[in-house]
Amino acid sequence: MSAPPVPAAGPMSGRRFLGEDQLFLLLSILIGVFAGLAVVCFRMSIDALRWIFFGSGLLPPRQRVVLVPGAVGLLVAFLVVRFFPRVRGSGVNQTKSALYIYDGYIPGSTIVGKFITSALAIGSGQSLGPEDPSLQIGAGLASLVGRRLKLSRQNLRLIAPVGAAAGLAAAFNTPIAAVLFVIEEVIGRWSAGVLGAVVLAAVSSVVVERWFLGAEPLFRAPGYRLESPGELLAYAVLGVAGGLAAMVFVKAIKFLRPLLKALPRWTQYLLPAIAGVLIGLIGLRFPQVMGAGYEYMDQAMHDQYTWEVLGILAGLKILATVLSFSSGTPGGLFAPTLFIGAMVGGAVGGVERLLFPHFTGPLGAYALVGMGALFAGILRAPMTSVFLVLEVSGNYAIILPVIISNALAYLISRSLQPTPIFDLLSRQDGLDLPSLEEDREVTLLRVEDAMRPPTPQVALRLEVLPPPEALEGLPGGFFLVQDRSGYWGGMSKAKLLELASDQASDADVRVQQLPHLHPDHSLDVAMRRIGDWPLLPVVHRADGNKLVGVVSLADILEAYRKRGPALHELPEPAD
Amino acid sequence: MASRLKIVQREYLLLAGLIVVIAAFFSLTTFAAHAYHRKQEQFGEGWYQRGEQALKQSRPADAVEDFRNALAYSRDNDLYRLRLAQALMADRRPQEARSYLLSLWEKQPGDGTINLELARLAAMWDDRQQAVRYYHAAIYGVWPDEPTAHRRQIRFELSEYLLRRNTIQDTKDAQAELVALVAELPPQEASGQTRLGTLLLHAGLNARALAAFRAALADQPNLMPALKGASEAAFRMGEYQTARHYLLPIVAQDPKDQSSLERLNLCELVLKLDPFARGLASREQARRALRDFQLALARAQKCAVPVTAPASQPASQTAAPQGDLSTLLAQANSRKPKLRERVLAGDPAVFEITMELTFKLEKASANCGPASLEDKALALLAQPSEAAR
Repeated sequence: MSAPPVPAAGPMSGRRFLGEDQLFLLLSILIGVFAGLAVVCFRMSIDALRWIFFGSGLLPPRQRVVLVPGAVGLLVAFLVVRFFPRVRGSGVNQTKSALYIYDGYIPGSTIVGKFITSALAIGSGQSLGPEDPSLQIGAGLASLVGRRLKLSRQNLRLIAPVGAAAGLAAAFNTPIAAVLFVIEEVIGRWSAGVLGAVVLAAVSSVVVERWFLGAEPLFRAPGYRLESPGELLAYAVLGVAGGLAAMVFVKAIKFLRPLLKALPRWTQYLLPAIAGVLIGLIGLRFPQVMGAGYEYMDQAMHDQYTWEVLGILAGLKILATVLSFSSGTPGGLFAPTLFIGAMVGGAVGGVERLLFPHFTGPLGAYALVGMGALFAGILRAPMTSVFLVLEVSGNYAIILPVIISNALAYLISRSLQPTPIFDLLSRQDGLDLPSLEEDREVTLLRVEDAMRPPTPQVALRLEVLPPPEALEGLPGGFFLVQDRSGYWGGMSKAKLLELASDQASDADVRVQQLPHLHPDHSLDVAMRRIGDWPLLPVVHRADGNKLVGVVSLADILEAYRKRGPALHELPEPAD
Repeated sequence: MASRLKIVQREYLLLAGLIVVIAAFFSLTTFAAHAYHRKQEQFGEGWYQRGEQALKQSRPADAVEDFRNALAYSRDNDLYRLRLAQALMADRRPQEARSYLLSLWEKQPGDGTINLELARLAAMWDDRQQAVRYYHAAIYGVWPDEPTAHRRQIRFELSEYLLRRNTIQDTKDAQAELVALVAELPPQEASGQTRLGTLLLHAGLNARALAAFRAALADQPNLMPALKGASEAAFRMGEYQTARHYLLPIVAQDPKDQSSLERLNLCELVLKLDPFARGLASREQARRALRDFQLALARAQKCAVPVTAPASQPASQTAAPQGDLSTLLAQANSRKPKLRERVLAGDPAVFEITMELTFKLEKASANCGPASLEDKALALLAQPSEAAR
């Protein structure tokens, strides 16, 4: 991807009628509406294409099941290779790239290309979902609007994630989960300005989506109730199963995608078609694995399959999605993740019902919790996964099992597959995007890791100054000094010698004001505060006169040096 | 100043332009969404109609697929969901049906139909607690049309379920439901009253059952099930005259109905043998008492001499407990020579003692082989009537 033209401070980045921040918030609402409309059209297009390709029944005509994904796969490949090379993949990493590499720039052609190719792919039965493309379409629209309005570089960078949140919120009808996902996975930090913009965009896009497509949650799972506290153990088992399934899924993509990418360029015209044919062959017996599969998730939640069938569907969906995604077909991973989760959850629930019929609640609850577990395991956004389940089901009573299951799936997946899928994909594409999960895990260095004890050699009290000859012998030219009020300030050696020999005036007795630190401050704060001071006092939080340590720039640097680079900061082995 | 004005104007223009673009996009989406929803409704309705057709033609498996398709186009359509659940039940997939019903119930916990279907499922699995809970929720639930009729039907269904379970508690609960039905059911509903009467009979509420059958017969005097029910209720109550009253038209309508004929004969014999019947002259009372005594004594004597019974016949049917019977027989034989119609008619105390001995003899020989019609009648007379009880 060549470097896009980045606008410098444009005419709208200087003085203006609306302040940049107010404009940014107003734009967030407009972008939310815009993205909401685009996502509504995108979803309608997918359905319309499905009706055209397969008719109105859930079970597609057998003769078309293999033919359509193959033929449409050829068309999609042609469009992607010839016209829209940037639309490959899910869209999450592309949005992150826009934020971290291209200053928020997403070309207009990517929006059009993503819309058309993803709709064709999902409508023709490729095992992919519409949410991540919606996210990218939203981000693309936001970037387009931001460029037209000549926002500052800083806001242009942030406007793409705002659009991404709007797109995702509209796709799932889940404003909270979308906001969390973008904060957790794309932006990686909370600040009032960003949060406000993201929330406004997500809410306005969801309003638009509900206006056109209805306000009901994505799934209507039957009522959940905890049959007994012991059933939480069953959900823990589901968390373990979810973590293992997530590991299998990510490892399969990790294995297959680079293999297919390494093939000669001409094969890119064929790969989506081959994936389509293979998925069609699976679809002859199990049409449920084709497309996003929301109807079948709903059926799984309503006890429509035996646990054996659910287990088979989970396995086949992993296979089909790995084929579709690795072939470079544009489309998202969210819906397949939820599908696999629903099937794994249902299967685990079915087995438990078989073994402990009186202690197992409704299967729908297991399917729902399974969705969250796989989301946490594959996409590694644990907070989002919890809220997503609550929002897609509109059922807040299920939170306890969801938390247990998601946490276990997340931990297991993390331990078995340390690199999250989006980081894996970006590294496979040769991009060094920040890993927000890994950033979360970095141990924060604090002042207490760098400070030294306040020895009499560096910290003195005005009231009990040593004699001049003793002062003379102390190393360094600057000391921390506590004045008569108890305040810790600084004083040069020369000043101290004057004081000690009673040659100083009253005005000279005053110590120099210094920024103070506390032991729990991060070293980043210490670096900002230390400026040109040779030493800073570290005082107790409850008693500002109590000196607990001293810290110098050299101490801070030594602390950083001692810690060394984190694991993920070391060069990544090539796949 | 001029440059600031220019900036403000440009800002306004750009925002206005963006709003115009969004408005245009909104209009376009509105148009597209209308077409989309129209198509969805069309597909949904088409599949729904196919499902209804399939159900009518007793093809529940096809109906399930059709309703599933319909539901895919209208996920929030509760009618489609309900019909899918009903089709699943018809296809004998109750577990799957239950799941859809529960999700419907979550949304409309007061809906009569949903509660009724859930109650039927629970009854099918004999989950009494849930069944009664859902049946009651259905009775007091919301019914879009004819709520009273629906409630009555569900009470009938609940009562039938409880009576099928056949425990003391269930029978008591069924009685409560049936008593509520007595108050709710209009008297002119002959079929309803007959059904109610039958259930009341089953629940042991004979007097109420008789009243229900009478109400049915008031509307349709020749309604055979009501006639039979009324005769049965009256018979159980010991109202043999009333029983005979209802048995007569039954036998007249269907002379081949052997059981009714036998019951009629029995009633007539009871009425003929009953020395306590109202309005009898003391002479006639004495005559009947003497005859009853002789009948009872003869059966007791036969019973006291064990006959060689077939191997298959239980011993209890061939001989009465010899201790009691022997004592009673001795008492009866000692009394027999002194008993005359004149004595019985003249001395109420002798009459009372004689009848008491007669009934004791009859009871003592109750398990003593097949009884004749007269013995059966005498045994019935020996039982205290419901009114007396």
